[in-house]
Amino acid sequence: MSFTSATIVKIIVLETKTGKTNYVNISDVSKSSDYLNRKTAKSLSDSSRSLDSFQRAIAIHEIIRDTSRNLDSIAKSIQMNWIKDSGRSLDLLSRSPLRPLSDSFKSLDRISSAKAFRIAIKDILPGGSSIYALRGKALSDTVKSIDALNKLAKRNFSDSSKAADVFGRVASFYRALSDSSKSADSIARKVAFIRAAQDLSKALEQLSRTASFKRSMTDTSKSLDNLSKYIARIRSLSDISYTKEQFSKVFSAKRSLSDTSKTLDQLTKYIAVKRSLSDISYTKEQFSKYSSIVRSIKDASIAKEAFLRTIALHLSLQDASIAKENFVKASAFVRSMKDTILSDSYSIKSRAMNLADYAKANENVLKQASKMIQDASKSLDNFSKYIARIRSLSDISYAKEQFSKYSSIVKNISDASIVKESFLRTITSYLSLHDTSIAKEVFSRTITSHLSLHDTSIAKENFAKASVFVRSMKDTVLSDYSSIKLGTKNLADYAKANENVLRQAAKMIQDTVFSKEAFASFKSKMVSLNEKIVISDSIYQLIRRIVSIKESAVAKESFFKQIYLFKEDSVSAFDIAYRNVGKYISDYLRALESIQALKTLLITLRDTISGDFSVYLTNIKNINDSATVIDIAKRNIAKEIEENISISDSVQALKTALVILKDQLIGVFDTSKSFSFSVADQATAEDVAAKIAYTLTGIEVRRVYTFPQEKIALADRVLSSDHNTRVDACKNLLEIFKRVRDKLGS
Amino acid sequence: MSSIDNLIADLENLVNSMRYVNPGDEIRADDINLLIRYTKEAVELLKQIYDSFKAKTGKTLSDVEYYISIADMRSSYLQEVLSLDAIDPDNHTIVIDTLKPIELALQEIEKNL
Repeated sequence: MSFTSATIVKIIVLETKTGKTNYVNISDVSKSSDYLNRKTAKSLSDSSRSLDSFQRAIAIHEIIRDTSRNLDSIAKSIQMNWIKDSGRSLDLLSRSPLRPLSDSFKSLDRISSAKAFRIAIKDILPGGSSIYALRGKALSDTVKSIDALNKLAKRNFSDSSKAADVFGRVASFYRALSDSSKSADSIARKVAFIRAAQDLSKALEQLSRTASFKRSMTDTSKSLDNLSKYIARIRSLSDISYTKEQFSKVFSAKRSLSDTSKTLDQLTKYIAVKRSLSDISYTKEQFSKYSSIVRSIKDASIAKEAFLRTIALHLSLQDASIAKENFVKASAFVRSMKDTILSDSYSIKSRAMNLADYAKANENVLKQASKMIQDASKSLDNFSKYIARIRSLSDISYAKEQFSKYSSIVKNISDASIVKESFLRTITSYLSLHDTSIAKEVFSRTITSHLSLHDTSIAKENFAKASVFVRSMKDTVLSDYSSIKLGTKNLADYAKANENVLRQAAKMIQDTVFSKEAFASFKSKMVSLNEKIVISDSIYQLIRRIVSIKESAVAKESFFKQIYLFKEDSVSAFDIAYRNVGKYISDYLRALESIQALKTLLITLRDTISGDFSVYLTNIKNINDSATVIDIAKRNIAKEIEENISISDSVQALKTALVILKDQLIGVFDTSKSFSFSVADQATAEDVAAKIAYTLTGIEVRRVYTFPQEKIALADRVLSSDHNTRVDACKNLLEIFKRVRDKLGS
Repeated sequence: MSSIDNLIADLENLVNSMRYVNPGDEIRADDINLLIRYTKEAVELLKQIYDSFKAKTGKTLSDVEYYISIADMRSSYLQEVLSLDAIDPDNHTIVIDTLKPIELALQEIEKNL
């Protein structure tokens, strides 16, 4: 309501009573109108505020929209639900301003109706023209005011309508936004779907790759597996090949072992060659020493001959008898060793050791045989000289006797015919005697002798030689009978001329007889000297073991000096004792030379009679193995030493020394505790022989020997205790060295 | 350090290298060779000690000289073995047969000092 119209109305109304009353009414109406206007204005104001609020909300949402436009796909996807909610809110907002507007229109309609009603009441009640005019005017003004209000309200309505249109458009927009949001949501879903599809595709791709990888891995694994199997097969093939190779080696070894005959043949040849070389070398060395001995005798030719025989015999012995026999035994041993190899390696070592000992034993057998032959050959000269001297003496006496006989016969016979006849008879008788009785006797003796030597063939051959010689002598004598026919005066010349022939015949016959006697003598001497053979061998072995077989000459000296090693303080007593013992041993050594001479005789006989040396060797072996002879020899030695001990019993030092010496010597003869033992105890004694002990730096040490093949069962070996005692002895000796050094002060 | 000390040191080294064996143990070539080396060096040491004895006392001992000659000769028979060689009983016997005169010689020298 404007101030001017209100003032005019107030003046008009207040000038009259009616006017005043109208005025009061109008004033009431005006108040009501003001009230209505204020209420409408309030509504409009509220609407305006609502609109402002709505506009601000729109602005906010525009900002949000603008902001949302700038959002990327991620923001959209994130804000999509919020936008959707905002859209819904906008819908509500767009709807909310319409409601107060509608309420405003409804209020205005009610105001208009109330105003018209009031005017009608007013007209009925007061009446009057002027009042009516004034009332009209007032109504006109009121209507104008109302119209103005209506216009304003319409304008507001129009504005509100515009705003509503705006709101509608905004709402449409927001609806579009909502639709967009929905679309976005849908798109988002689609996108999500697509993304899911994409992710699925990626996942599928990844899965495919994984599957491919896995497949490749599987393939690789399979390939590796196949490769490993292939490699395994190759390896197994390789192993098989290796195993086959090893097996072939083993099989080859087994086959070589099982193929004993071939192996033994090869082994035999190899060992025979090696051993022959070794033995030849050894024999050569021995011969060089032997030659020096022979040269000292100044008879190189005999020594050379003996050496050649020795070599020949040695080789033949090696090739024919011992080596063959030993290798046959080696064959059996190798077979047993083969069986043992398959079961126990330790047994292999022991068997191998046995084999080595066996080879050593074989070598010792050959060396001993060689030594025996050499010893025999060495003594050949002495005995030959001896025989030669005897033979020459015998020849001279026999020839002299024969010559004297023939001379007396010739002197007593003057008639040539008688001489002839007598001579013929004599010669015939003599020769027949030689052919029959003498030769027969010689033959029988020779046979006996040779039978005693287990060599009938030798004797037969010897007799055949003798018979042939006698027959040749007979023919010679008969052929020379023409000379005898020349006359008795030539008989002496004839006798002289035939002296050499006769002498040769007599010598030959006597040689035959002598051979027989020599055999008999040899046999008897061998029986008596068998023990000395053993003794000599034992002594020689002692010498060899003390010094070396390579230094036999020095060894003898060393042996005697070795005995003196044990002398103690009592020099004089020892001198006596040692002289006795030394003399005793010296006697045996001389006996050894005699025995060697007899051995030489055997060789001579063998060469003369062309007998088989193996028989001789067998005899020698038998003699060597004769337990009885060994026993006798040991008893003699023991007795001799015991006597020495009893003699020197008063001297304690001497006794001690002799006990030591006794042990030393008795040890040589295969016993250290018992002086006499039965033949049955021989094996035990032989075993003791392998354990001859003496003290070294206070420690008992043991000497270890190998044995010939026939005694291989007694073979000894170096034991662990032997090794340990040597180590202890070395330590003790080192302490002695240090002690002496300290005393020397060096 | 004199040659005697050197030789004794060598012997000590050899003795320290030696080992004890039990029944069933394998005898190695080295076991034999150590003893052989020890024996040969002991002979040389004995000679050195006897020379020193003569230089110090002016005396000569025939027995000792004999023992030395025996030991020297016997040691010359000792030959070292190779692996897989058969162990000859002489490898054992000659060693102790050589050490015995060495011991006797040392006793004789010690007695005359």
